Amino acid sequence: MTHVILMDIARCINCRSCEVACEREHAGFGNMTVQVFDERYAVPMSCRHCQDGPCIRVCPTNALHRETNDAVTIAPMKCIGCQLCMIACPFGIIKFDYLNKIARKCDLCVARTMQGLQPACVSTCSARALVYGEFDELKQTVERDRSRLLVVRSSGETGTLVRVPIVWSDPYR
Amino acid sequence: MAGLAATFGSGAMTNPITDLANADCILVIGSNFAENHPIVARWVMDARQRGGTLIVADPRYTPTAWASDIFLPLIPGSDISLLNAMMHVIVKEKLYNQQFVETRTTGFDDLCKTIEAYSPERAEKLTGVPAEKIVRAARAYANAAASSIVYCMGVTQHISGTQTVIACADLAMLCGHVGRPGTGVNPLRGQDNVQGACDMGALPNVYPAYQSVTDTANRDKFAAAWNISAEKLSLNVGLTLVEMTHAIERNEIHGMLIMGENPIVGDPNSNRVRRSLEKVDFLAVIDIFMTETAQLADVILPAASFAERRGTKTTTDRRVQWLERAIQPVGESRPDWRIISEIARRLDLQDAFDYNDEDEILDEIRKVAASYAGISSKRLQNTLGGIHWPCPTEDHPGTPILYVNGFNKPGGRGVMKSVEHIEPAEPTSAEYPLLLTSGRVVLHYNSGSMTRRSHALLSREPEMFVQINPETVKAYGLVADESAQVTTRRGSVQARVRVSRRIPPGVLFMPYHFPTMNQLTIDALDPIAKIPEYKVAACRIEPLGEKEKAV
Repeated sequence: MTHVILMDIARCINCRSCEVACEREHAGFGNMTVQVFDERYAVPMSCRHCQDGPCIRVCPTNALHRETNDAVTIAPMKCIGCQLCMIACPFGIIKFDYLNKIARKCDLCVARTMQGLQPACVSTCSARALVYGEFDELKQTVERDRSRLLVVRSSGETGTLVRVPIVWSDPYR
Repeated sequence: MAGLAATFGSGAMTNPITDLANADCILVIGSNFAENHPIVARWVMDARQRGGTLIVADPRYTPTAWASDIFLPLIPGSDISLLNAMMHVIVKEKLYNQQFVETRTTGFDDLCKTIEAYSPERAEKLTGVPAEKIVRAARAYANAAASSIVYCMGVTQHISGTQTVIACADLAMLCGHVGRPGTGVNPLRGQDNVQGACDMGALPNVYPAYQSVTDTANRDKFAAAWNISAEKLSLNVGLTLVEMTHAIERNEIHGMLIMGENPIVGDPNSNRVRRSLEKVDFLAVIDIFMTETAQLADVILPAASFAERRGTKTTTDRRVQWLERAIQPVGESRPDWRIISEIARRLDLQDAFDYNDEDEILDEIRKVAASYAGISSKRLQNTLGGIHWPCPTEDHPGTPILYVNGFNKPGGRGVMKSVEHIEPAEPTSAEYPLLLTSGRVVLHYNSGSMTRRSHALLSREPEMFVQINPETVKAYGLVADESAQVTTRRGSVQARVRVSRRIPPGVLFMPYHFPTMNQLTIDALDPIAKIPEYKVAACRIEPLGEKEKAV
């Protein structure tokens, strides 16, 4: 029963509201980045909260741990800034906070989800490209919807649940 | 607005934004909602996910176009030819809704005569869109069970703006895609309450609810409602924003009161606007920030921000909603209505501005504007999601979808008017060989007087840029990410070169949130709606080289 954020690349419009919302929620340090590829797809990128997180395994001080809401988070007082987690992360998501000399990453908005709220990036997403929910349920929902040419990439192990559009032709042709 | 009033009978979105999810085909023309109305994307994506077709006509491959099934890359200012060609295909292939055309509209025969000349092959030359794509788009729009048209400033901010809107309305009527869920002609308004401002008569030619100022019966009605003598109300149509600038030059205007507007950044040909505002004898500005315009003012009156005010807002889809204030006004700031009432009191007009609170103002609105008659503040405060006007009585549920049974025209019949291609006011020339179009980016809002103060937003979009095709970059010796100088007949501006394959060669795009941009745009006006042609100007570009910040 893992809670994840579904990233629906087919719906993302690169408005970057999630980036700004994340910054607001985390005192000015955002953990969400929207990347644009080929001036055509926008991919919201943040921590996948892997089941067997390599970042947790490499952390020498156990600063990285799993919270009760399934989120992988960093205890800032334990972090020594060794950056091993940044090397281990398969998605290159973890950022370094040069001011405080610690690693920073998405905490799935623990403070919000504990109160039954959605993570800040999800609740602000205008195009509903980010959806928060239980992994298997979300997986079923997106796999049911085959109305468009879409592929679903999912892996419970790495927490990946992404819907990708397939586009065949050049838009100008 | 004027275009829809001429064809349908009133100018507003025919269907709610949420209703876009019910469309089987959505034609988006001159709107980049993904950047400018991101929330609209939610329902458009829902429609698409259900299997609907999305057609996007835009010179640039914008984030809106990313999701499109059919992308029509047209030359700026050629919208009418594209729409006429689509209608040409629909009539020729007999895809139009004959029953709707016969029973609900007039003017079909005239329309046919005009669009006869717009074959897809000819339109390909005028618009730059391949004929085959125009045919595909026309078939998709006509054959879908419910098709919606979404348009925005890309259509209206041309000298041909009103005519293009008429063409959109014609297309919808031709296919009978009006008055049902998932259909309609939907202009997205620029601000959260701009529809409300128009409804309240913040236009030079009408009283609240679009009642003409030239009609003596209307004048007498409002004189009675406002407790003043009828002679005090003018029977003449006033001036629009850009016309005012020009009237100052002719010494016809000597004083100005500007509220919530930053014309020095937001208006076209801003060097001319600045000269005019410097010339005017007295300038008062009501704003929440020290804007570029406020810096020229003799008197600045601090307004209250959205969180410090209560009252109604009418969104683009005619949805009237009540907003309660979160905090009391800070410092000396006051809600705009209190500022205006105080000015009125000093002008001896206190009888007409005798309000104690926002609820009393809404009561007056209900008396003078029939479309708001059933929207009481008590009802509104208990209705989550608001009420769509027209709402004539307290027990009326509101009208989310307009024209279900007929148009607001004689006999309930919509008027199809034929329109011809109109060339932009400023064609390119040997001296100014490139075409400059302006627009907005997702991270900033209008003149940037609010968003340029936010670190989170400004750090993501910090400076003026000019989006250019790699071919044009090469042809003019420009360097990516370095500064360039863009010059039109009205001014010259520095901007950072941003290379993009998503804009056609020969066209430049610049956002107007930064103070300099509108020095370049032209203040030629649409003859009917008086909207300036922000979207097309002739320009040239030279490399500057140095890497310093452009603004």
